[in-house]
Amino acid sequence: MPAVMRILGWKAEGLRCPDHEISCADSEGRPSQIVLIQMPNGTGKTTTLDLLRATLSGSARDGKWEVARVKEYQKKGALNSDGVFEVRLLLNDKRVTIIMYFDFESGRIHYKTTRGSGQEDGFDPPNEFKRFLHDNFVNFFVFDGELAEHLLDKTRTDAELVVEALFQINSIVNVRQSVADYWQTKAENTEVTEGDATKKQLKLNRWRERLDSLLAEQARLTAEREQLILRLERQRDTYNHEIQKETTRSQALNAANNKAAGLKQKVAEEAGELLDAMRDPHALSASFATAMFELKTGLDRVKLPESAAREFFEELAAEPDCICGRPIDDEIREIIRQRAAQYMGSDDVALLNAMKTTIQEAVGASQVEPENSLNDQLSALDKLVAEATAARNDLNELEFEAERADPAVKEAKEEIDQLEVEVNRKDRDLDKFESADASLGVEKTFGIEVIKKKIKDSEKKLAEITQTIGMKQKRDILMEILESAYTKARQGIASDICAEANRRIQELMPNNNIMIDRIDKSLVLSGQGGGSVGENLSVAYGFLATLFDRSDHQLPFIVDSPAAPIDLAIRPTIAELIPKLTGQFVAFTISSERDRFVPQLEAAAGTAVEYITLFRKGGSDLENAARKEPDHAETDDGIRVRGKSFFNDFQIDVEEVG
Amino acid sequence: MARFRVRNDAKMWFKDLLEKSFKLDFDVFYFCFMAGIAAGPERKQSASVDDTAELVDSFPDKYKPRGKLLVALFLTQELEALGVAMTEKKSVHTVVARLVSPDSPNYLSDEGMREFNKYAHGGYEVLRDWFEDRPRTLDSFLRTFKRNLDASLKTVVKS
Repeated sequence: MPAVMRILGWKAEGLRCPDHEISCADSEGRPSQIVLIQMPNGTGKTTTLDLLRATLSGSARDGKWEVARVKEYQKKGALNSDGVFEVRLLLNDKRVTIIMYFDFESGRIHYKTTRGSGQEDGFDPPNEFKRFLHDNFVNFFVFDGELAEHLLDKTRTDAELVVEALFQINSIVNVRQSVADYWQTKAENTEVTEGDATKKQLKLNRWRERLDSLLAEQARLTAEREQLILRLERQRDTYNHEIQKETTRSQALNAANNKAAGLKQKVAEEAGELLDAMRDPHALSASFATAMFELKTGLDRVKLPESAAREFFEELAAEPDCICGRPIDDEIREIIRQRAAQYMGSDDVALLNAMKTTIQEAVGASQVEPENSLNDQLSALDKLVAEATAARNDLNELEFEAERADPAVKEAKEEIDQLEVEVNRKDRDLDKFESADASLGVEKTFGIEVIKKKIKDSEKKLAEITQTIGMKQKRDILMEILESAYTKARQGIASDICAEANRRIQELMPNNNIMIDRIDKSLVLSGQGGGSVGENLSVAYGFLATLFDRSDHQLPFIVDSPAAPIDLAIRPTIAELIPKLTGQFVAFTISSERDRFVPQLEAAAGTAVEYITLFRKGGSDLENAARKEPDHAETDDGIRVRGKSFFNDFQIDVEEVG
Repeated sequence: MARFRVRNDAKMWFKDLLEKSFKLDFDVFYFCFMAGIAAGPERKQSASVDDTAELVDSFPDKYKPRGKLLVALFLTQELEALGVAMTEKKSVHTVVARLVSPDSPNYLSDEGMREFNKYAHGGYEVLRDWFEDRPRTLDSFLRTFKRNLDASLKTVVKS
């Protein structure tokens, strides 16, 4: 959105310049297009310009001006300890006032800004104007002869700066910075080199190969184990067949076998019941039961939880009176609230009470009985295990006898023993694949789940790196595009501006042969370093007129001595140029500048020109003449007259000090 | 909300019992925890998330009615470890309030659960000391467990 800025006026009080108020608006409050303020040298013209710059840029905020510099602005010989400079603006048709308050005692300045929302402390113009209302830019629309010199000074970057700011080429730089910042944030926690990615990929490939190899080995061993189990079952069938060929032996073996199997089943059942009994922690050991009971009795002893919960006291603190009827003041209320924290909440109370009840039910009657009962179960299991072992031994004995009597049985038994050894060996071999120990590292561990997890983590990390590298490539391309756009925009705009500015300079000074060759930080003139003060000012006008004419933004021009250094011959051309240069031109002049400038300016403007004369009190004839003017304003040390005739009759260029 | 966690290597160690005898993964946690409680707070051990498996957030199934007893046992150990006597009402209140949470299905605060799990993590190491090899049958495991538990508690009492 284009920014349109107009000055509506300003006011100075208690400062080095005469107290005064200038309006740059017509009787209906609309900003005037051309305002000429005639001030003799020495009446505070430079001070007023400096104050305008400082107010519009906020350059003196936050203690940026040293105390001595602040005190320089105090009115000479005055007793006042403060001063005010206030500038009224119209920013995109909205009124904004920026005020500088001078505290000469402390040497501090503070700003206030008035906008639609009211007055706020500090320098706070609307956001869309902040890029114009700052220290670096204000000098381009509140300027004097120095600006022309700066534009041509090779050691300064003023010309480049104004082009970049007006045409927002800076935004390309800002986009580049944002891209760089985003990349920096993304890349901070990630390894980014392609070498790292390659290394990680190779490592991941090795891990995958190891996993595949281990899975294949596990599958092979599992298949071999299954084959062994099949052979074992067949061999057991053979063994049973051989051992039962003789009837008497067969009957004895079956009886022993049934007994052993029955007892084994009983052991399993008893163990299941014992497991459930051992799930009672108080049954595992009387010392556990005692510890729980002592916790319960200990809590009872110290009255935990209390009969009252924290909520009771919190509610009490909210009441106007205590339950005893006495009023509760703020002090007591605070004490109750603080002490309420020492009580448990009602939920805590309920839980602790439930825990105590559970302990009471479990071990209240006896702390040793649960363990005694468990020990009885254990003894019964021990007995059963002993019986099962004995039955197994009896069976083994019968089998052994059969093996001694029949070589075929013996052979079958030996084969079974051998197969069982092999199955156990396979089991052990397979166990290693289930290791959960992650400390060995992928290259050494056999734990398949450990390796799978490591691979998953590594794949995730690699994906992040790969994504980052992809992003880096995109960033590089984007940075190249932005760099190219920045260079082309700068060169293109600078070239167009040079051509257009040269056309204007040619109009201003057709015989001087001064041209802008290029913008390389500063304005570089063809074949020479610079011209006279007047020539340089003409170049500056030509350059700035082109700039502001081509930009969508409309800013005022506030100029000190717009024609003084310029040859009389060029003045009319400059005067004709000014109305095209800007929508609002505010100039500080002296009487000698009127010749061949003011009439031409008025003619070119095609609109009413505001003529203002401001001078410091001291000459009684002049003061008397001013007081006769219908539109004059008088302060303790200055008089401001509005009107063309007084302006044109005023003949003082330098204030007489006396 | 914090959950019970069991060491991966402990689950592997109990593999045979998990397949044949234990009906609950929590049984693994329980026997590790009780071994840890028997050995005392000095055997508590931290374990990383990678080295552990997440279990339930409340005492499951048959452990449901025993949950408050386990928390009570845990509190006795923690109070003792902190040197808090049962006569020091304020200190007891502070410790209990820190470790217990009535809003949690396992009655433990997040901090309480972290400490609770440490007994189980350290308890697995205690089991490795008690058993020469990993348990293959339930009856053998239970009898050996009880024998070592008794011996351990006697040692703790003596020392």
